[in-house]
Amino acid sequence: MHIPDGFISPQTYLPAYALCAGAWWWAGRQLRERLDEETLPFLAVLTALSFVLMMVALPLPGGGSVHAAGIALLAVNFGPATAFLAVSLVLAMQALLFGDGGITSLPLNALAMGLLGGGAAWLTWRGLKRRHEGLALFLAGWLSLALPAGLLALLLGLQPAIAHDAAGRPLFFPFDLTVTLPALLLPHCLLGLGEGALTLLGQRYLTRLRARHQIAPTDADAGG
Amino acid sequence: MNDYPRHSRPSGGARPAVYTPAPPRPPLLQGRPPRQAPVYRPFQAGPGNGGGHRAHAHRAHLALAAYLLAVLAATLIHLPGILAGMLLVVLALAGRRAPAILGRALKSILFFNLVISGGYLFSAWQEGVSPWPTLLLLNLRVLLITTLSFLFMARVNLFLALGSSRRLAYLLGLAYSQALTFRRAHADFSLALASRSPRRPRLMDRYRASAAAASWFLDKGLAASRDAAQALRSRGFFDDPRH
Repeated sequence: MHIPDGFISPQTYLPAYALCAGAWWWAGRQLRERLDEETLPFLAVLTALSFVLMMVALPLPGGGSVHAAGIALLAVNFGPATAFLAVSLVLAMQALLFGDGGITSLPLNALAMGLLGGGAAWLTWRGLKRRHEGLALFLAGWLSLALPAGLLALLLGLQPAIAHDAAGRPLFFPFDLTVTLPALLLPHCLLGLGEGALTLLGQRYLTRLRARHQIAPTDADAGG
Repeated sequence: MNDYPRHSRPSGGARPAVYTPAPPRPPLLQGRPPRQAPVYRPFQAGPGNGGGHRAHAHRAHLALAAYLLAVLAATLIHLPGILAGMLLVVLALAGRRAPAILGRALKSILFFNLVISGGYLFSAWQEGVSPWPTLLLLNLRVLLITTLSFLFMARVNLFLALGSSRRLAYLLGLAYSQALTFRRAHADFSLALASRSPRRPRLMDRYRASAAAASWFLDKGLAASRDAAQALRSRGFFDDPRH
C-alpha cells in the first residue's frame, strides 16, 4: 500500500529508519557475497519486474482491481535479504523517481513488505517445499501480502496514541486500531489468495523461462 | 560549424583564372553560447572530468540532505501557519514551475487524502468534535512534503545523490531504465487492448490481457537480464577493482 508522506509520525519513522539501516547493512553484506555478473542484472531486472507487476492490475467483478507485488517470487528465488533490498529499491524508486508513496512511509513499507513479507514467504517456502511445493508457493504468496498488511494496520492504528496534541487531537494518521485493522487486514487476506495463485503460476513460468534463456537456476528452481 | 572558405565556381564553362574566397559568414549565435544541461556520466569520473563530476555529486548530496532535513522539520512542526509559510517558500523555490509542481502534488495526494479526510469528518461529526484543526494540519503537511518531494525530483539527479556506491548506482540505474521500459510497454498493452475493443472488454478478456502482459514482462525481463550479464562480462565490470 502506498501511504503518502505526512501521515506517519517521526516517533515512528525515525526508529523504523534505524531498524531499516541495520537490515539494509545485513542484506547488503549477504548480497555482496553472492553478487556476480549474472545475479546483479538479474536482481535489477527482477526489481523492475516487481515494480511493473504492481502496475498490472487484475480486474475484479464489480469494478475494482488488484495487483501482484511479486515479493514472494523474489524471496523464493533470491532469499529474504535480496528480496528485502529489491523491495526497498522499488519503494525508493516509486517515492523518489515516480512520486508514488513517500519518503517517511518508505522504511515502514520496506520493513513490512520486504523484511516481514519476504522473510515469511521464504520461511514458508523452505519449511513446506518438501511436503507440497505448490502449497508452499501458494502460502508464501498469501503470507507475503497478509502479514505486511497486518503490521502496517498496527503501525497506522497506533499513530493517534503516539502523536496527539494537548486536546487529544491526532497530529498524523487519525484513525485507531478499531478502524485500521479491519480496513486493511480483511481485504488483504482476500487479495492474498490472488497473490498466492500468482506466486505459484509465476514461479512455474519463471522456471521454464530461465531454462529457455539458459540462466543459472536459483534455489527455487533446484528445489532446495 | 564548417569554417572552410567557400570557393565560387561557375556552373558551366571554363574554370575561371582566379578563385575568390567567399566573405566569412557571420556567426550564427551572438553573445554567450547557450547553457547546456550537465551530462551525467556515472562511470567516467577519471582525471579529465572527475572534478566536474565530483562538484555535481557534492551539490546533489547537499540537496538530498537539505530535502531530508526539510521533511523532518515538516513532521516536527504542528502549527498550520508555519507549514503554510514553508509551502510558500517551496513554491517560491520552484519558480516558474510552481503551478505544475503544485498541480502534480495535488493530483498525487487527492484520492488518499479525500478518503482519510472524509472518514475523519464523519467520525468527528459522530463524536461531536470539530474536525477542522486536524484536517487543516494533516492536509497542509501532506501537501507541503509532497510538493517538496516533487521539487526535489525536478531539480536533483537522484543517481548522483545516491551514487556513492558504484554497485548501488549501477543497480538503481539498470532497475530504473528497465522500469521505464516496462512502464511504457504496460501503457502500450493497455492502449492496444482499448483499441482492439469497440466496447468495454469482458472480464475474461481483461484477465487474458493481464496474463499475456505479465508473461511478456517476465520473458522480456529475463532476456534483458541475460543481455546485461553478457554486457557486464564483455566489459569486465567485475574485474574492475573499483566495483
